[in-house]
Amino acid sequence: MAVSSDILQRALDREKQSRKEAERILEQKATELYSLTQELSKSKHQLEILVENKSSEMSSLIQNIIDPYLLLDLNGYIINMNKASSDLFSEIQSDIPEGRLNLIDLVPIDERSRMAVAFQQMVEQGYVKDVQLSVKNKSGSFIHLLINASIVYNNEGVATAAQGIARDITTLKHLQDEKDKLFEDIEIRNEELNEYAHIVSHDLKSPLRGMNSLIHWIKTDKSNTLSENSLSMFEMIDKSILKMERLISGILKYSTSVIENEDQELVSMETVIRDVMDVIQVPDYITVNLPEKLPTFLVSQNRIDQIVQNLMTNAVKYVPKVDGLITWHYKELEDKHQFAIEDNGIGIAKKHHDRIFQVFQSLTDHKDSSGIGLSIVKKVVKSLGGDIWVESEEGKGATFYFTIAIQNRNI
Amino acid sequence: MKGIVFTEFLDLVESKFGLEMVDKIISSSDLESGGSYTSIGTYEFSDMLQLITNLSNNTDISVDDLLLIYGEHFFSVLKSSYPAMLAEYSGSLELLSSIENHIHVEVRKIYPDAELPSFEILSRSDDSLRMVYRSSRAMHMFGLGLMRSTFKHFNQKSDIQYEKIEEDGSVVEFKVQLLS
Ligand code: HEM
Repeated sequence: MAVSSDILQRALDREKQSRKEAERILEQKATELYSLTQELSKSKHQLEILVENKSSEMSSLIQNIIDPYLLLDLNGYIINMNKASSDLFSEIQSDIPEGRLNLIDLVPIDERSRMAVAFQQMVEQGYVKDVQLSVKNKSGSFIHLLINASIVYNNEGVATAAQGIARDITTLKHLQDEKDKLFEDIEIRNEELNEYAHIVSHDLKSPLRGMNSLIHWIKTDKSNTLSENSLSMFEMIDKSILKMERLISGILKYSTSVIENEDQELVSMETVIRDVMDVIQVPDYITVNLPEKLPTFLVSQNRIDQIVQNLMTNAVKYVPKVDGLITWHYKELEDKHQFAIEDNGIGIAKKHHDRIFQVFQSLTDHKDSSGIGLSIVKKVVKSLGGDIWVESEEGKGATFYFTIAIQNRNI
Repeated sequence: MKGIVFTEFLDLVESKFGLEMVDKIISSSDLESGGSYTSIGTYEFSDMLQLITNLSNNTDISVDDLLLIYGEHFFSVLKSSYPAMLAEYSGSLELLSSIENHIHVEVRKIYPDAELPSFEILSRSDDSLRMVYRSSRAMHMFGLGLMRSTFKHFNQKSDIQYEKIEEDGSVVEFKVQLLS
């Protein structure tokens, strides 16, 4: 069956029409595509500028990090490193290969396995913290490094790179080692000193004991032949021996007084003074006045006890037997507590004010004084960061001042 | 509606009923395009509606049956135009349940002005799928044709039931059963 020519003509017209339509659409698409490409290349250019700015910002940032800083890909290849880094590596590795560098190439051969382990650990847990690495530099001395490194994640939380910073702690480590060594030395010295003091005092005391027994024997043997005069001389020898023994015990006490480090605790000064008054049994004829305000502060309990006990004992000793008066004072200075203990005793002449704090200086031949007490007090006060001095005139009583450094609780 | 839907339709009419039928249904319609279509153009859906209605009037085949046949045919067009998209699927049910959130999503990226239906999945098991077709163009029979061809493509057998939820066919529920 033949198709009429009308129909064929119309079909042909439609085909022509649609071809033109298709060409028009394609033309239009081509123009759209062209302007799109234009726009794209413009934005690409802008993006490139942006990226360039950002990366130069980044690299100057990285360069400005004082410590060696490295940016690596996840296989350990270097993406970026600052000058401190390249300086460090050229110091520890003599044959750095050319071209694309891996972290492994930068460390000396005998450190590579440790480095690999640390790197693996970082990849697995996302970071490594305070890893210490000691590497030899070219001249053979050790450089100690403290390494902190972590994985860098992108916006989607996917690991993309690793960054690490290595701090040269060589000087710090030397200082630390030196300090540790010094402390150790001091401890050994202290122990030696302590031992020495004990031995010396024992050695010094034994001839005294020998003399003591000899005199005793002579006295019992010759009691009827010795004159009154000789007997009283023996009596004096006895006393001198006793005094000598006390002096020796005193030296021992002095030399061992602040050897041990003692723990700090919060101590109430009022409690300290009242406890000391109980211990030394202040007689009834003496009045002790305490100020309204006394501090509670951080100090070694033993040492503050020692100071207060010595000063109180002295004051009690020297106040008159009638109307004895002891008065405590307190003042808070900027970084010190200042205490004072005032008595109405015999007083101390100006010329003696310095001497009394020296070892073996005692003003009177008080029977139970070795003359060492105040020198020990001074040593203890000094160990607490303070000072001690006296204000007095002969016959008008004395005031002993002492200070103690205020400790920061956090230390 | 995309031009390819028209050009493929008119080609199919020509091959089944001859050029006279093409001429007849175009001449008896009042077409926005004047009757010429190119696959890369975009045209009014009302044009397609008129062409199909006039074909039905001239052939005594219902519009629904024509759409069904055309849908079955259209799958082969998709197959030759978008082979990569089909290759991503290993079975009919996988493909059908991905129309909404993958296939037509990609189509819209290529043709931002495409007029696509929506498919809401009600339930899905290893061998069955229930979903609701929604489109103002009410071409669910076209969809049924596409589905049938999909099963043919994968060499799978199926039983596809459907139920109009809106009388005009703009909302239709499909129950697709995979037979072994
Ligand atoms: C590779 C697979 C597929 C591609 C590339 C594709 C692409 C398209 C395109 C280009 C249109 C025309 C849009 C317009 O004219 O503006 C369309 C419409 C349509 N598609 Fe798909 N399609 C695919 C698979 C399917 C399948 C398997 C179904 C099965 C239900 C389906 C159902 C429909 C329906 C029903 C329409 C008609 C428009 C409407 O109802 O509103 N499509 N599709």
